[in-house]
Amino acid sequence: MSVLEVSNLSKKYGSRSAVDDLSFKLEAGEVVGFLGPNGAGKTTTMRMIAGLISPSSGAVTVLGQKVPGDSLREMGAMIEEPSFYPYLSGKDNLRYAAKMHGGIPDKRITEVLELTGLVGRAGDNVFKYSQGMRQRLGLARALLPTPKLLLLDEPANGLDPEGIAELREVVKHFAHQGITTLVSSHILSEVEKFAPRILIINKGKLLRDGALGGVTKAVGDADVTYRLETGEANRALEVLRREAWISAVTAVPEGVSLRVPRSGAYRLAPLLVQSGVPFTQLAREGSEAHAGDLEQLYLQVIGDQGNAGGVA
Amino acid sequence: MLEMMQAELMKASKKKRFWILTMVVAVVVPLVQLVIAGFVQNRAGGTVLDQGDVVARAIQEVASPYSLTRNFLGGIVPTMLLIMAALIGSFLMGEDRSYKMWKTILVANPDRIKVLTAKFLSGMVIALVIMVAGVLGAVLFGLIGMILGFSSSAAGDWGNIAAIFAVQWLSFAAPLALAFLLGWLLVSPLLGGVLVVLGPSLLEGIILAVVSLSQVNRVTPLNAPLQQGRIQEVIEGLQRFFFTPNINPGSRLVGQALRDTFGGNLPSGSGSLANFPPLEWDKIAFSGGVTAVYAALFVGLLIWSFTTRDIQE
Repeated sequence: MSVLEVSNLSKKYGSRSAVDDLSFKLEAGEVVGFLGPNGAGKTTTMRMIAGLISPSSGAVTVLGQKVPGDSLREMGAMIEEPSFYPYLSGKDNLRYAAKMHGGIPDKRITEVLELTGLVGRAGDNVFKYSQGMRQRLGLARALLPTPKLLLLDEPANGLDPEGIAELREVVKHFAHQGITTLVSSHILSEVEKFAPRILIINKGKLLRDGALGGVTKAVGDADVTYRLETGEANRALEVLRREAWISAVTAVPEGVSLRVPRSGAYRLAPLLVQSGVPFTQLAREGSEAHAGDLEQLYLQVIGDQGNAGGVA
Repeated sequence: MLEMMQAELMKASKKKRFWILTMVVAVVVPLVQLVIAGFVQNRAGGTVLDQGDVVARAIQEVASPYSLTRNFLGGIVPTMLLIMAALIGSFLMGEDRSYKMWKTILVANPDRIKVLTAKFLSGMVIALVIMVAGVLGAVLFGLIGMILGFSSSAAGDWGNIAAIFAVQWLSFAAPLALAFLLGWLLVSPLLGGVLVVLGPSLLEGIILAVVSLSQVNRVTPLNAPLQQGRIQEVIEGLQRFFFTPNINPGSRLVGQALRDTFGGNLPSGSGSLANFPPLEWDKIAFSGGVTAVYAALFVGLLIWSFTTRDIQE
């Protein structure tokens, strides 16, 4: 019996399909990355799995029982930005959730606070918490019922690098405990470190379902756009255009724009230094550089596979 | 269910608004009445105004354990009933929407009927605690009034007080259900609260105006009095089934006290005094029935909406 089975799930808002005929299964102990750009339908899918919204068609079963049903009590979830009563302490927020769930002893609250590193601040009111602490508290709350299935929607939002690394370890810890985990993200590099299997969704359709390595191999190496700020743009253009692995080399007001495969990006700065091209900055384009990678990946998935016909 | 109610009551205990409300009804209101009693005794006792113990009787009406309790149930509770429902409803339902807590609550417990029931019962318990605090405060300050010599007896019709207390508390289910419904449907808890307090009387006023206008025929000197009588009859018939006049059985305690004081000669239609009907149990039972119908209507709509709506926020 699968821990989670999503069958032909669809959700329509008027004529717009937020989720379109989505099907997948998660087995016990699997950690699966659920990837897609913003608006792809990840959160809607997770809400349907959690029984918060009803599907237009299709079904979700958790531990063999159709959703909504009692089996949801075996599930922990952190959907979108976690919300709390700001006038309650972190511990009281957990106590509230534990009592709403029922049958969770106080000892478990202490355990999840320890697991998420919040013991020292558990007595503070939540309005004093940073974004990262709220994420940790949301995670602690999702873990309260000792879940068999865990849904984490963009859990790394607001976490600093140290927090993301800790999150990664916590998720790995879940896997060792046999907790099936579905982690959504729009950042491939974040998910690839702990999810051996990924689902890629876009415009509500499942585009890929398979081992992470297989997907990236099938898709190929994504390109990354860099902006080079230099006072000698002509010299830079000449050097960069000579290299076959560098593409889209164009002059821009501050210097030069170019694209390189992500795997070869490390060679860029040494090339410029060795060629004697002075530069003041070499920066990846856009604030969400990793999201850019993923978008490239989606574009290639869509280009290679067509629409839903590409499900592996 | 009990654990869920514990969770809601724990949350309520951390909200200053309920402590303030409880302090107001349990301390401020009876204290103000004692201060008034003291003022009247100092300024009017034994003066030319004090004919036939009128001052002592007046003080007894505001400073004995019984009268303070009766005034609380008959005067204060009706005044604050809708405000209390709005506060509790916005706390238990409206704020969960504005804090985006529904996704958390319904993931923790996906049984929506159980969640709603626990929240509603918690609301009734919060109201009960505030009302009990009000009665205890009234009795306590009444005893202080006796010690200070404002009143000489704690005697009174405590049986009716207990019965009216129970009916008043049960009647609270209707405004609370309305507050829950609006708290659930409206994005703004503030707007929901304002509508609970003002909405019913506003709607009833509009209904009365529309019905009255629809009854008006072309006025002639001959038919004007007849039309007025007919319209008044229609309005009174309608008002018997309105929400606001039926949810305050406690006000009948004060009405009865006024009748007792005036020897049963309280003129009907005489301004605000007429708003306090006499303590007649058949009419209280009728009001209870009307209130129950409203409560059932609001609860029905609430259950339908609560169990079918997607949680998007």
